[in-house]
Amino acid sequence: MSLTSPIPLARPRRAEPERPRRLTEVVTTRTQRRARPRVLHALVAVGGVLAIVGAQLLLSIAISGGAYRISDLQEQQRALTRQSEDLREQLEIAGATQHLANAAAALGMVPAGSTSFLDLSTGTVVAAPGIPDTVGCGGACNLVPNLLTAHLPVVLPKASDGTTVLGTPNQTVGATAPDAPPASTGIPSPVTH
Amino acid sequence: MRKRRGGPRFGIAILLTLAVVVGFTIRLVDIQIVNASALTEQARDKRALEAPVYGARGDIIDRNGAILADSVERYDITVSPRVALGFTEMNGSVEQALAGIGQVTGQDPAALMQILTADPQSDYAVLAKDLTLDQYQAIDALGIPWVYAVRVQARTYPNGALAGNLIGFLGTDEPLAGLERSEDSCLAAQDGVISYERSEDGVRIPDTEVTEVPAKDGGTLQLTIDRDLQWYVQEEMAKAALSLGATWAAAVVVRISDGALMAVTDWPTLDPNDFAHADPAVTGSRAFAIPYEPGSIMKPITAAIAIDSGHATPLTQLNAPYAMDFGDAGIITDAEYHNPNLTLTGGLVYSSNTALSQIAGMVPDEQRMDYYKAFGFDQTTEVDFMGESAGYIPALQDWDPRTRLVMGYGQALSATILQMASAYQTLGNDGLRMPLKLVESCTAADGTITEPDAGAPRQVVQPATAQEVRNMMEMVYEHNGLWDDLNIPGYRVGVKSGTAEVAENGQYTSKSVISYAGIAPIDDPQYAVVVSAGVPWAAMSSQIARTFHDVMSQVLTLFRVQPSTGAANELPITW
Repeated sequence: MSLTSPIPLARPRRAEPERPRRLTEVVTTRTQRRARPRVLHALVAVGGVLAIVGAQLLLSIAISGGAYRISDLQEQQRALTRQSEDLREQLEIAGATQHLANAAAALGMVPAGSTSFLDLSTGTVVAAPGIPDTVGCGGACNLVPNLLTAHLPVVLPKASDGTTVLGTPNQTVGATAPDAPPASTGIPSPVTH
Repeated sequence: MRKRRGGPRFGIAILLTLAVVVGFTIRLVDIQIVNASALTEQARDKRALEAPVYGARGDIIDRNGAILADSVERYDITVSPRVALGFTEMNGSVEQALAGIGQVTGQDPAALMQILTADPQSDYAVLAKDLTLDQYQAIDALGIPWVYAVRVQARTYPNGALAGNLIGFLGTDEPLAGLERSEDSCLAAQDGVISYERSEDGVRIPDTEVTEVPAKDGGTLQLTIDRDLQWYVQEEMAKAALSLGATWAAAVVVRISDGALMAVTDWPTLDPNDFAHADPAVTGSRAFAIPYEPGSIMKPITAAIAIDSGHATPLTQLNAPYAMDFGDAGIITDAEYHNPNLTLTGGLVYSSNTALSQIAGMVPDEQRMDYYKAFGFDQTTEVDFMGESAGYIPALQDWDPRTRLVMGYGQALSATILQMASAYQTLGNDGLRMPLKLVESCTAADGTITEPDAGAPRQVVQPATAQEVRNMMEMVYEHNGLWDDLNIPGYRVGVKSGTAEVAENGQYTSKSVISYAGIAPIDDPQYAVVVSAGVPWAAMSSQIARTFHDVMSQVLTLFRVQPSTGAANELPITW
């Protein structure tokens, strides 16, 4: 090795002073020799340790694999919860009173007037005249505004060829009032069976 | 020669070793036992990250559970302009990416670019706010590596302006108006904290998530309001207001048995989904906040006070001409000519100011004041709505001769429409005034239900008095000349109309407030309805009679009220 090596050189070992050789030697007995550890034992012990380490490794892989799976599933669950919340929200908006009123008006429904009663003693129907439509918008006045349903199209009943017809989005009554459904004649109604 | 074992050197070595062992032991105990928890904490702090978890704000629902206010999740798209502008080639150019985002959000890509270039060295900018799940997923699918979505809590009001006057709205940081604000203690959620550990390269280590503080969802606030009725009444009042050219219109429907408010409407009102664009003047409930001179719908209250205190009966004979000189109090006139020989019942049917001024004058002032207070005037209702007005009854020492008479027909004092509805509820409930109730209950996230303490019912007038006043109100319904407008077939109804002049700067003007108040069915009172509209010209109460009829009809139909039996007990109107 050169002197410029960054690794410090080990000091040379001091030579052991030689001792005078003894005359008597200790000889192991047969039993002592037999009691000595054998290679087999060593192999078993080392093998056992290796097996334990290996098993532990596998277990740990399995556990962390499970943990990742749990994590994946939790993520999936969160995504599904989010989706279900989103769908619930859309349902809420589709079920908004304004939207239902417009859908009903698009089907040709008009607000009901007073309750009518059948008087059994006279055989006549007792009812007040209908409620006058002072603003002229039938059931689709949209006088209670709703930003969320304003652009929601009203789904009309299926056309004869089976396609779904989307009506115009809900409109607010204004200078150009939306076409009110005719109150007395020619009420458009879905075909019922 | 053998060296003796243990010399001074050996001893020193042993001692040194011992000293080291003791030193290590002390340090070990110190680390493992004495400071163990603090050190563990420090270690975990180095590995663990804390993140907030949001509790959901509680819903506001109507009496049937229909959702009026709902908490939803929205997504903000954030970006680090520094990083984004450095990214030019991966997954397409920045311009392409922005065009993709713009297509989803409807924003102009040029405007998005401006957000990025506003401060190119910044590490934080928001490209889009409040995106829905669909929009977020669409942007996620674009695979832009430099945008991050942040989940935020948002509030929607699926029914829009329906009950917008009551619900109020949330600002960015806190509730700003209505029940959202006043009932915040029920609705507010508590955010929690979770912590998780992350590895050297920043990857979240699975199974290390620990909930430090659990998030607590807010409670569900149930109102006494009926969504369908509220919608109907709001539409009817809007129609009435539009056809009258009114500046405001309000209506209240109250259940007589328990004072529950089934509908409280204001026109105009706001859509809480869009409160930022609303007229600041309509961001509350005028019905609660602004009292008005009720006019003649006060007359049944005056009659009830006089009858209950023993000063009059429905048959008390009065000489009540069209115009009458009350001496110090000056001349009081009626709206139209009529037979001057009126009973008190006739005074109500013809809505005679001269008749009711005489009746009001019969009762000592202190006694009247006590009755007014008992009816709930001059004090806020139990609802204690945000910004609620107490109305105004002049203090006793301010009752000059004219004031004490004109108060009998609802001028010189003011009341909110809620106070008027409460007074009619009292008459309908045999004189037992039930505290007004807008909030049914608050159901906390853990299921505990709390009902607001509304206070005790109060017997204001005797049951017989209330019944006599109802009988007189039925005479008004039958004989005030508006039968075609008011008639609800199958039901017996009691009503009173009111036309009040509006005072401005101490002078009565040609502006008017027209009202109708009533109770039905009169034989078994279930609901009281008051409708009022402020009109910038001299309108007549008959112009809102039809609206009262429509609202009351809807109430009776919607709540399946059993039709009346029997006929009205006819009372003489004149003598």
